[in-house]
Amino acid sequence: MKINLNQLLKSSFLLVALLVVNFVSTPSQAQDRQQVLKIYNWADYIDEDLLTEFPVWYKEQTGEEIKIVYQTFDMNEVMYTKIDLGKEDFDLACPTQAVMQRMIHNDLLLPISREFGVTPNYMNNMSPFIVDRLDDFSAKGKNAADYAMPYMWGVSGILYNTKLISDDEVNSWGCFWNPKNKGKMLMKDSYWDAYSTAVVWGYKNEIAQGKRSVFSVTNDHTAQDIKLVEEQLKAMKPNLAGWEADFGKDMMTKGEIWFCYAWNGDAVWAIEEAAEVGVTLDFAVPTEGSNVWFDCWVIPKYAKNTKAASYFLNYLCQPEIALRNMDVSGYCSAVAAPEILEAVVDSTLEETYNLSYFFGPGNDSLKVNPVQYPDKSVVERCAIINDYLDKNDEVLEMWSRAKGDSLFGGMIYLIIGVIVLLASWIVFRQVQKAKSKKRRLGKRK
Amino acid sequence: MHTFVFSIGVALITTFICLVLGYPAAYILSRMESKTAKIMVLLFILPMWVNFLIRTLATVALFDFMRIPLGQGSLYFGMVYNFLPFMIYPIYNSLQKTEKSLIEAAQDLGANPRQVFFKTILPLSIPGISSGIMMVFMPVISTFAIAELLTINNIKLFGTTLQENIYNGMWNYGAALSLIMLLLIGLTSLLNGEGNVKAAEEGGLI
Amino acid sequence: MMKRILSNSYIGLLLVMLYAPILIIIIFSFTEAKVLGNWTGFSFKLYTNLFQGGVHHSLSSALWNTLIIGLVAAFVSMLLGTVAAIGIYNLKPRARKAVQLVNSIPILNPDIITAISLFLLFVSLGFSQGYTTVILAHISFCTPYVVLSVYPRLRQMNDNLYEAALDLGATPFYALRKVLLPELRPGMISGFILAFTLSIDDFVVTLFTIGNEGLETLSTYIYADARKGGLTPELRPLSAIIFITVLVLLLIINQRAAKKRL
Repeated sequence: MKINLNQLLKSSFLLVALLVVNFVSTPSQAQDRQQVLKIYNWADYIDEDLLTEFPVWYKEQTGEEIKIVYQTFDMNEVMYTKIDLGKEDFDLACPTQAVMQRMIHNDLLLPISREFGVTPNYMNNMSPFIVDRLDDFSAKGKNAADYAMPYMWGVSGILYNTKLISDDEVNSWGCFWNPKNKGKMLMKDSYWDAYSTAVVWGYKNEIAQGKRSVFSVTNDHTAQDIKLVEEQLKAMKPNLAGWEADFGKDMMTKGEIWFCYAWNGDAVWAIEEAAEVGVTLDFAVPTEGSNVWFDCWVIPKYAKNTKAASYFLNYLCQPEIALRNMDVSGYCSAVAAPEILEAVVDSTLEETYNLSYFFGPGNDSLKVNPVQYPDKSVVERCAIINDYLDKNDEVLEMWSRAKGDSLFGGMIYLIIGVIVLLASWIVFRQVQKAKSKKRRLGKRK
Repeated sequence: MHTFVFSIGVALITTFICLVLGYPAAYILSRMESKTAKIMVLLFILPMWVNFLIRTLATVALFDFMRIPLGQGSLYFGMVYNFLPFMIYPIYNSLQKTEKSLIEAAQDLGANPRQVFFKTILPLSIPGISSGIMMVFMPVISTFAIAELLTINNIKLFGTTLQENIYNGMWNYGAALSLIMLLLIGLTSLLNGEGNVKAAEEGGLI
Repeated sequence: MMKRILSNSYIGLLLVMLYAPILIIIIFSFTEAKVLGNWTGFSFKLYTNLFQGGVHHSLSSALWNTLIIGLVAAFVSMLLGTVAAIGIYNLKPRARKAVQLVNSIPILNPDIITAISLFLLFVSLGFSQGYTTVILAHISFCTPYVVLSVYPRLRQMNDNLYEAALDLGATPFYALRKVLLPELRPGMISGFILAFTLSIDDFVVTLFTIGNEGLETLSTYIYADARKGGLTPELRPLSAIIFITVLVLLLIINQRAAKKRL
């Protein structure tokens, strides 16, 4: 049966070509690239109204038009891949500090200009606490403070149900290794967090005796460290209900889990939510030590509109704007202006906390939500996680060894059995075919 | 390596369950009047229009509701739940296309109902079965979301390894793994194809 | 009679199992609780929230994009798949087997590998990523399913019909339209439905080919939400609405088909 395919092919190719041409020449690409600002951020991490208010402010300050194109991502790695391999021309991206370090290391960033003409420089509102931390990430002759601007920061710790587990227990990471809590805990499915937890617990004695600091333990990544972490993770694994990625808070509100590893911003949200359904949750940072993290804005290498990008960052540093972002996301802004201080102090609270490290001297007894703004003592025992750089592959291998391995005996027999069956079936068919061929040839004779 | 073998095992079990559950369903559907049958088949496909993530989360909520802890059992339920329509569809179509005259001929020749089924209907529906197996087995090995959500990452499947490696920058490893998988499939289908060329051509998805 | 009851109840049981989670979604769409599983009282608030939304990261634009991409991709892959099936049918047996093997590669490949390879392909070709690339990507992984749907129909068809049409004086194109396509239509339609279903459900491929213009489909919207702050509760009424709409459509079609038969 022969069909004249030519005509069919021609018409369908024409259709496809038309569609392609139609979409390639969409209106948005006709717009001048200098009037577009492409932002790549985490989901629910900014007050969306700002995206419509910024163009107005920008016009006032510079007289130029701007349009914002906003895209969200859910994992650092996806963002990194898109910029590194995809050479996407985002003007702004918001990586976590370790990934930012990797980007500096691999020359993927452009410096952030501080030339704002007549507009005041709000970036000086940044708390020195965070900005000083940036120095750790400078590499290859580049001062990290020129390439990254901190956005939100926080600490990691344990979110727990006050009725189901005691405060004393969660003040130590040991609760994760206690078989009494088997099946009632969750750890984050992220090798950064698991590594830093396990290593701090593994070296708790050395840290307590002052032989090693929390920073060195978290970031040295010596072969011995990695091996210790693997042992600790394997010891913790049987106690876990699972490795959670994003549903830990749900399970906590339902009371199925007693405690889980969490970041303080998430904890603030979770505590509020749980209170609505009558469950009391609280957040604690264990005494052995933990980690401080921050997300920062960077200008990727392939950005086309660096001017609008740095103006946007300047815009974000205004105290009122920072407050709005804090409200929407639940996290803690790196901006430390007096207006923010006023807004977060809650005189109905009883206890006071030392926040002089963040807001400056003289602020050592403030009534704030300790989950959102940790006390000085908490911050002092936290270290920043650096990127693993060339040790990355080793750590990843260790991670999959520690996490994996769920094979059991019966499964192997099943698989072998099926393979044997399949093989014998195939052989059987071949034999049959050969026989019938022989028969046919035989008949012809 | 262990996860790969384990995933194959999970895939085999899932495919088997889908087959056992799906074949009778497809058979019953093919016996119905064509009008009702069409609607019923579409009813089976309909749940797939609700987004995958929401479906899976709802399954988690379902298990919560019934107070059954998550684990291997829920993993199999989730897998079967997601892939059962893919198994029913090809088998149903293959059964439907079976010429009634062949069945009648078998009955005329004196076969009892069981013989009619095992000797006539079943062999004629093999193309549909192999389509169904193909559409279920491979995707089960490579989905990671179901394992992640329904077992809180306790059970690690090959798809998870793949995803982790790629997301964490070890692309080469992930690519190599998937190439191996592809070669394995190519090999088995080539070997299988030699014996089943004619039958496979008559069968197919729809 | 007994057999009838048994078989019907078996199907019924399967359907109940399939629809139980969906029922849960629908039930919990009537409550405001953020977490799926908590019940904080009956309310329609989520439904009203659905239809408001910001300019960026809005659910309604994501839904709209999903629909358009799905329809276009399904339509084009239906055409391509049919053409391909006809072509495959006319090949010699060896070539036919080879092409069929190649055809099944996208089906058997893990979706993340397809996603990344397409991503790298588009980057190296210099295509600016966005609507075009997403649609192209979807077409490329939906077409094999269409081929699998149409091809058996071709096999089953009587070859002589086409030849008869040609003998009676029809041009090949006319014969195609009036003889071939009507025979293939059921296969094409099921291929279209299958391709559409796959396209709207797809996540990984869309994620990697979506570019930087702020494009969003339903899947990427949902996943973006799930990671940071838990699933938006508004998705429950959305799924409920989609589901009920399609169900109603189905029943309407059923009614009209019944009327036609009478």
